[in-house]
Amino acid sequence: MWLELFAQTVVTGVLVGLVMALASIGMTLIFGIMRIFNIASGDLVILGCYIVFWLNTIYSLDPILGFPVALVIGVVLGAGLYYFVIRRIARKVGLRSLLVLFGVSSVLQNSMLVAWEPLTRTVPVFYSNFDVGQIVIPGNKLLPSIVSVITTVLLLVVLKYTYFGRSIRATVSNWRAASLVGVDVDKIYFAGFTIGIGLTVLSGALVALVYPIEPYGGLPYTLYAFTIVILGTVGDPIGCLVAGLLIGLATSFTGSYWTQGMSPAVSYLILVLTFLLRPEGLFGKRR
Amino acid sequence: MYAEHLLKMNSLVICLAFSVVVGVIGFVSEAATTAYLYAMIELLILTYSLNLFTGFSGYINFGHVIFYGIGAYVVAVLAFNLAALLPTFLYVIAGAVFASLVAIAIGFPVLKLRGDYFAIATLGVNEAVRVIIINTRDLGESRGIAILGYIPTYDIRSLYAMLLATLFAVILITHFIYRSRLGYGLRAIKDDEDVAEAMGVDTRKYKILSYSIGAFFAGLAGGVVTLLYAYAFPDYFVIGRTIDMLVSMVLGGFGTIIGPLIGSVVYFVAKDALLIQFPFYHQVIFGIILMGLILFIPEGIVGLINRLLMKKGKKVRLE
Repeated sequence: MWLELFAQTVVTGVLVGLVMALASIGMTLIFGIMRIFNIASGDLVILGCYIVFWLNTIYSLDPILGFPVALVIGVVLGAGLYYFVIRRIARKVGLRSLLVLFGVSSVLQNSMLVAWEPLTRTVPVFYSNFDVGQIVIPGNKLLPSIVSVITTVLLLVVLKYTYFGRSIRATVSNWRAASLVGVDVDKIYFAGFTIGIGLTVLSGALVALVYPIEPYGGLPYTLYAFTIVILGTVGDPIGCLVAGLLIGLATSFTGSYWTQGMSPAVSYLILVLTFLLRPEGLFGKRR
Repeated sequence: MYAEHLLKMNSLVICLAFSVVVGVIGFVSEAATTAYLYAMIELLILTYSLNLFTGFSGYINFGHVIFYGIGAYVVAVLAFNLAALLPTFLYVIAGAVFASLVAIAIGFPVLKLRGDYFAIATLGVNEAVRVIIINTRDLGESRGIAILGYIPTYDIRSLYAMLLATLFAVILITHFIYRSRLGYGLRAIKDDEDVAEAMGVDTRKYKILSYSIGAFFAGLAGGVVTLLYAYAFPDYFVIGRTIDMLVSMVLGGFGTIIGPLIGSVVYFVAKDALLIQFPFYHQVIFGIILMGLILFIPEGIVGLINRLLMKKGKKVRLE
């Protein structure tokens, strides 16, 4: 009996962790490139959730078709946000950008609350579950985690093998040097921010299948993403994937063996401990 | 020289005069006005208490509201267990002291962090405390602790007096710190922490000291407010109240003596009016205002006034 519970907990943790990882990849990209912490991340996740939910409710669209829609909306939103707001604070010290994005977060929260009522909603179970022995692999969690892994791999390929990806990596490691050798840093900022927001909203679309949706539910996702970004070393997508798995496992084990209510607290404590003990992350080098 | 010194006292005099006027109005008018001013003074105290740390040192604290919540819960727990054994103001002071002790305990590790990392860590600590309280049976879980009937509550005039006394204290302390070694040290940290440290400022001590002083006053405010509501519940820890404080502080001009006063009063009156006009959109409006402030006038109203004064060739500055 305890073996099944253990295995089930691991499965849930892995699947949820992979989904969480994608949200933090958006954030790590933005932080790596621009040194801006996207504190509105959780609210963008919620926006993604709602996109899938409404497409499903109104047009009874398969959630998987909602994913590209969410990505496109995220990219457009990111571009607008960059052009009107972020551009003006791009090279300023982080604290101003934190407060500005705090403002963005409260605008998003309130707009979603007014538009879509403070109800808790769920996307109905869409994909059938698999049984492996005694363990259930929920289809609603399996699909998003597969999409998350595929997206991450695509991003990695782009980062590694294209000129564009190389210039992003160059900007992450040193933007002055990058601009010296001819990288148009402003363009990279724009692209990085836009892609980052796009991925965040896309991850929200995935989360819609896993968790219930509330307009005010963004903050935990922001904090999960922060934790994963720091734990997985800033600017490193693979680190995000690994750290995402760890956080997913930690929350799911807390849920199974203690109480579900405490699992956010556990991951916040991991956040604070990471900051204190290993601020450079699991794979970072000590400076 | 003497005249200039007198003018420099201006900010403090304005703040104290304002508090006296508000205090008198609150005492002579009917209960509804008193309640309105009560909420305003609560915001004033909170903004000042945030200003003591974040304003002076430049460290953004997204988790300041936990000290307010801790003050509230300590008062509720004491009232629940001791009833009216001791005078209630002692419970409030106990709550504030406990809040500042917690601040020291949190500050020791967390204040090692800088800039963004500090801000995020405070957000994490805030949510962790809230989630832990919601899951603790002795603290009433999400229901909170009701203390109606355990101690004499709802006496708005005497609570108003308590709050006013706190306001005077926090303004005086702000003025005192502004001109003290601690204040100069904190401003040096705000400008450049490494340089400050190299110049011999004990940055660690200064940060923890101002962090816990700020927590003390936030705890006082929380305790007094619990006595009014006769209730402590997890919503004391919501981020919304931190937004109120941050926006007020930035609006007025942070790290100044008069800034929090101007900011809180303008914010409070505007928010109240907007809530009545647009009950559903005030958070959108304040989000946009916060963005606009940071983008276009990051130095706040006090900074604007000072810029005007400088243009006119006056030597006086608000502080």
